[in-house]
Amino acid sequence: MDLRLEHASVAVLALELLLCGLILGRIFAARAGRVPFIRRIPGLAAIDEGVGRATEMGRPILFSLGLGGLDIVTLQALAVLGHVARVAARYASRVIVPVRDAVIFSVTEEVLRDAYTAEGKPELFQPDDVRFLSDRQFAYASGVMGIINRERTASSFLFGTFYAESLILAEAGHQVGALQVAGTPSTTQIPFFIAACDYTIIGEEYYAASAYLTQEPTFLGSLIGQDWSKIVLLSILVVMVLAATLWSLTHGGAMGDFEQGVKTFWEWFPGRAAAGQ
Amino acid sequence: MNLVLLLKILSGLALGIGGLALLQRLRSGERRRLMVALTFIAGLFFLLEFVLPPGTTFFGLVPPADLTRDNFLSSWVEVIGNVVMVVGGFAFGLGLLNLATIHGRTLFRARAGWQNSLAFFVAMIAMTLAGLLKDHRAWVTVHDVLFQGLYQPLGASVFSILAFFITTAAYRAFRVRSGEATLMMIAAFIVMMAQVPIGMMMTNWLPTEGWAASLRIESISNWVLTVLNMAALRAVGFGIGVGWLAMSLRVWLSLEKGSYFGKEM
Repeated sequence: MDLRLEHASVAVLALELLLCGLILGRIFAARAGRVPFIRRIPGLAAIDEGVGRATEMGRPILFSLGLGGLDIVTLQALAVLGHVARVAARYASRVIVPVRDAVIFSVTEEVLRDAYTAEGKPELFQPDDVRFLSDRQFAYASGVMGIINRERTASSFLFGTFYAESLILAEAGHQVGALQVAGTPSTTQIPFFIAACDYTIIGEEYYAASAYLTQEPTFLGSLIGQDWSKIVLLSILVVMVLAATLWSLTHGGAMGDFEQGVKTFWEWFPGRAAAGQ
Repeated sequence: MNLVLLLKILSGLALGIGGLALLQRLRSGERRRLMVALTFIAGLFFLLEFVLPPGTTFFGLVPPADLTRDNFLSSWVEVIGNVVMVVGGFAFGLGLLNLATIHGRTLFRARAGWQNSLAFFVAMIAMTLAGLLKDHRAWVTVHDVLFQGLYQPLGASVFSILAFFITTAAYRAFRVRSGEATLMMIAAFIVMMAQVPIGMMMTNWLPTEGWAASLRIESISNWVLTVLNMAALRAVGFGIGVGWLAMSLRVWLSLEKGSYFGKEM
């Protein structure tokens, strides 16, 4: 299998540097004391409600990390898990985490143990609550459904990368009357979560989770940097739409040269011609 | 088995175990510094591999195999991918151990549901044997029965549950309770009607050409999917992409730390 990546052109490199500069600039500004305010995100605010509900009902919480490997999406889900586990530890509630990846299994165990220790209740951490089920999609889904039904979980948190099993997990939670909060960047699964869960975190809200939950200046600054980056991308989009419209009006609708020009600019880097491409 | 291959596996195993033992001996602060350094170097490697144009060499030490698409780092991408897979292989044993511990405890203490734990051990042993011995003639049938006759139908059965779950979830989602739910219901109604003959019959009397053709149900459905839906999806995609970039930067530069983002560094 060829694992080589494509290479950045000058335009891609310039854009990436600009976006990274904006994000890092805002992070360091926030760390220096210019901490911004972020709006309330209902899905994330509901996390504490879900933990409180589990405590009142005396039932456990289920937290699924989805089917992703140890990537950025799962790291973000682990950050949310850390917060959920700390709140659960505070109220002496159990958090059951079924995982499908052996690497994530050991990381998850550490996150949970650290959360209970940080709240001064290490004895409440039960290693059996982090369960490696299977690395097969539907075997994992069946396992999670089984846990939800046997344990009668009071709340379900579904954060990470999901595929077709998303609705199976969400409906299983709904059937036992669990309060459900889901968050995923998998755009094809968002409609299923919206239909089946009480709260759904979509798009960049997913990456805003750690900022919202911890209120740490680094995360808050990063979030503002992300907003500035989106403004830059949106500006490019608007300028290109206007330029394309103008070109179309002045060239009788023929877009061939315009598209070719944009493509050449976007893919150019030194040595491309010499390399024979 | 090839002797050289066996030696390579054994030396890789010894190196891995030695590395893990060394990591355990390090103090917490030292281990964290090592992780920060390794994360930075790994991130820098992939960044440079991405930004350096094809044909780039480093003092001619490692010339790229294909000058039109590789730089001097490209040939190492696959090697590093293999190393990551080996590290993952070590962790797989942990997963199996966790399963065996949980089910073993349930079985030996005869807790409720111990039959499921027994089924787990029987299935695990049978599947492992069938997988290892599938090249032997006597085991071919066992392997086929277990994988094609049992495992695959079980997976398909779980997948088929989706049909019922989609119906119940759609029923709840499309109930007209709010403005958003109403919009969702209208959009779903249009798209669903455009997929079935009875829906298309409703607007069959409209011409297939001219402005009136855009009022046909299939045209409206296509517009909902390719304009309204696509625009929203792309907006979400931009947000996700930028969020991914920001989080990657924070992880690469170790601006987060501790129990995975508990506190700042």
